[in-house]
Amino acid sequence: LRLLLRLLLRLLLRLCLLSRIMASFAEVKTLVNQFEATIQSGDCNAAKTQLVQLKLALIPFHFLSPSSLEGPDRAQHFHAARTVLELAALLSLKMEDVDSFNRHVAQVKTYYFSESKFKDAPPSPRKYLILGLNLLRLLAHQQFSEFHTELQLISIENLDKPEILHSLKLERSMVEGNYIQVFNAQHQVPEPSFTYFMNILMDTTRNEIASCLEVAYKTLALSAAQQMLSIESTDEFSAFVSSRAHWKVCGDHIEFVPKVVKSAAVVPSMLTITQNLHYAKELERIV
Amino acid sequence: LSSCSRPNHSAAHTAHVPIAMTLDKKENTDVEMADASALTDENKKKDAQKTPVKDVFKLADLEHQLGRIEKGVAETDLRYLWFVLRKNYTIRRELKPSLLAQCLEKRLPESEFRATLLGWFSQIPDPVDVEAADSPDVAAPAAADAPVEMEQGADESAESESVKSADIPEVHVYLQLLAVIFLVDSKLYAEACECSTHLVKSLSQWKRRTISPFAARVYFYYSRAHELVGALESIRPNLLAALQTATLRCEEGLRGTLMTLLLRNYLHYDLYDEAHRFVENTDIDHSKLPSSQDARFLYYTGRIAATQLRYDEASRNLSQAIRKAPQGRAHGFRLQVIKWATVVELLMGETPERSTFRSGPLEAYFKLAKSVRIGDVAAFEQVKAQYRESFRVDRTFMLVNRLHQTVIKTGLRNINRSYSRISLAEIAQKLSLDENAVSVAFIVAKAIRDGVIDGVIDHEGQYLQSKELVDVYQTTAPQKTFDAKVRICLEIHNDAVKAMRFSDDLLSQPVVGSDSDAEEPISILDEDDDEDDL
Repeated sequence: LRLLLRLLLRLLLRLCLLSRIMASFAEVKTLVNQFEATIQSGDCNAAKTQLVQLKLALIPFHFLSPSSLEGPDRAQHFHAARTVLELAALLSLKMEDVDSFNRHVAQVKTYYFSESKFKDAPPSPRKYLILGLNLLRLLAHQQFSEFHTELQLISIENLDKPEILHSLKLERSMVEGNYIQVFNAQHQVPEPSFTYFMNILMDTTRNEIASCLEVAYKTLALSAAQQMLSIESTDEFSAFVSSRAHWKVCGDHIEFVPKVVKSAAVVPSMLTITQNLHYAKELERIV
Repeated sequence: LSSCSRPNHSAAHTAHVPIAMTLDKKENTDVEMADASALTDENKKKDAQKTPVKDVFKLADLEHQLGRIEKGVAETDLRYLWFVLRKNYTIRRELKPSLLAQCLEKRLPESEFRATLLGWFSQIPDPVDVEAADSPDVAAPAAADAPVEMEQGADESAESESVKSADIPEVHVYLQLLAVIFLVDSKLYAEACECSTHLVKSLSQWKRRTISPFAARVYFYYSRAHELVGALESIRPNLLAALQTATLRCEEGLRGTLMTLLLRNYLHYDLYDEAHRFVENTDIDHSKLPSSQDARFLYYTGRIAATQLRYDEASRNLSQAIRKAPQGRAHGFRLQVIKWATVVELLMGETPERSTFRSGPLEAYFKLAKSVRIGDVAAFEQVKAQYRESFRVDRTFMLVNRLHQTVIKTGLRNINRSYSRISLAEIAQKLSLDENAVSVAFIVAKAIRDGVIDGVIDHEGQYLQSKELVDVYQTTAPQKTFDAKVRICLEIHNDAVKAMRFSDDLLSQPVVGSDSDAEEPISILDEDDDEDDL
């Protein structure tokens, strides 16, 4: 009898869960629209709770594994899930949470890869925005090899899209050393959501410029330095100067204390020893 | 087409002797195939007027191959199987599809699949117009003429035992493999896909060691057929599962082939990140791979390294791939690797040698190298725009984009060497840069920091002053270059010794049995050994 009761209980529970999860797709759609509206209104916390609900609701529709989507409505499911993830990424960017941004972008990318199987789903208007933002994030953190790996995934025809082009041009300017372009680009962002990463990029660029200046110049006038570093307020500038290790302020110009150069007369003993040991080992080795 | 060619590789008789990689549609004077063509030549001489006899002879020859397979399975001696695979090159060229269809009909068990397969084969037109194929009993006198006289006994017994020996799965696998190859050659790609999928499924049933030489080929053509149809992504999980099984069973040859196939799969879709992680997480000792697989593996890893800005590793791998690729064959593959290698060299700031640009298809890269060497930005942009399409096909477009920076670097270096003091405005003019004084100053400052040029900028005077040239022998640079070269030489020496060591083992092995039959494969293998060492 007890066993029977247990079985019955289990069945009941399962039915309850199913009925909860088996929210029809129409409900999901309304939730998605609600979510969009909340984001547009700018209420981040409400949007966050709605996001959690949405993710749970999408689970029966093969959330996060688009390749297993089947059935006649799969294009719609695909589209809904993709939209949710894109909006989630943008939301996390607004809330300045870089980790959750990374996660959502990685999840959306699985959808982008499967796009060839779902040709009847409408193309996402935000796809290149998300990809461009991701590229910019990699640039801001100076991760050039990942930047290039990501870039390979974008086909050549799409390189002209404004969001992608923005990041491409930035990368080129940074590698060349054309930092003026980088500063100018700050005012020419294609979308306001780019500003967060642009600010990080500005800081990184300033450090880069400072290290270049140290090596290239012996002395530099303060005003010129301020102009080059593109820092407007003098307080910020003096704080910056004092934070750099090798800079000495003498009157109205900065002197860059050169780093100690190893004299060429010093024999690089460790290097020579390692090399010679390697040769000896190879020569004596019986292959 | 400059895309990677599809080599038909014949297997090594062991893992260490270099494998021949062959390219279709190029008739080469293959020393290796001299023995096979010698057989047909002799036959041609004997029956010069009767061309059909040659084809019938080929059917008997095919039967002879199957006999070899059976013998190999019976004695569990893989050498016979490797030898059979090496004949693939001739068979592919000379066997008529109708004959293969006949053989399939005779040997494969009755099944629905066999019917479909034969249906496809009837679609393939025979290359040579010949009157109705003579009956198989003409095979007997024709075979008698050929030097394979000693095998005649084996032939007849094989035929009489055909009912019994039809049960050997290796024979089925081999015949179906030939079928797939023929379908691919006749451009029936969708059918080839189906056939190869069926074959792969049947392969997974058999757990026999003797299947393993064929298994690698089967997977290669499976992947190739799907690539030609454009469905590579769908077979990725199958390849991964096969790799898992092969690793569990310690089948090194199959593992090597599957790894290169998977890498090709990832790189086809530009999934460099995944490919990199795949290489890092699987432990494969690529020096143990046969050299055709090794060349491919090095090429793919070189490409991944180049995309991830690890140019030293990339150039090492790519130049090794060029060395390991077979000489005189597989031109498409070499061209492709050379293209990537030149771009990587340019990215590292070195100019590749003029001798690499002998051939026509490399013209774009030659012009690219010229513009980079001079440091002329305008010429570089022009070359890039002109050959944009060919770079896109070669998939080197992204790398070429990165060369912009190298052009500027080279230009700056040349200027620095020739002038002791030069104004920033003139630098901007020479390199056709933005005229803004600050931006030029930034670019030069960054170049100084990166060690490209050696100098100091004077801000008030707006000029760049070069430091005196330091004698390079006072630095450690010569020592480092010397070390690098010595290491390469030692590596080559070790590889050569390892490769040589193998043939000593082969010669010292006792001859299996006293039949002339058994001697024949071994002696032929030895002959080929010598020719390969040339």
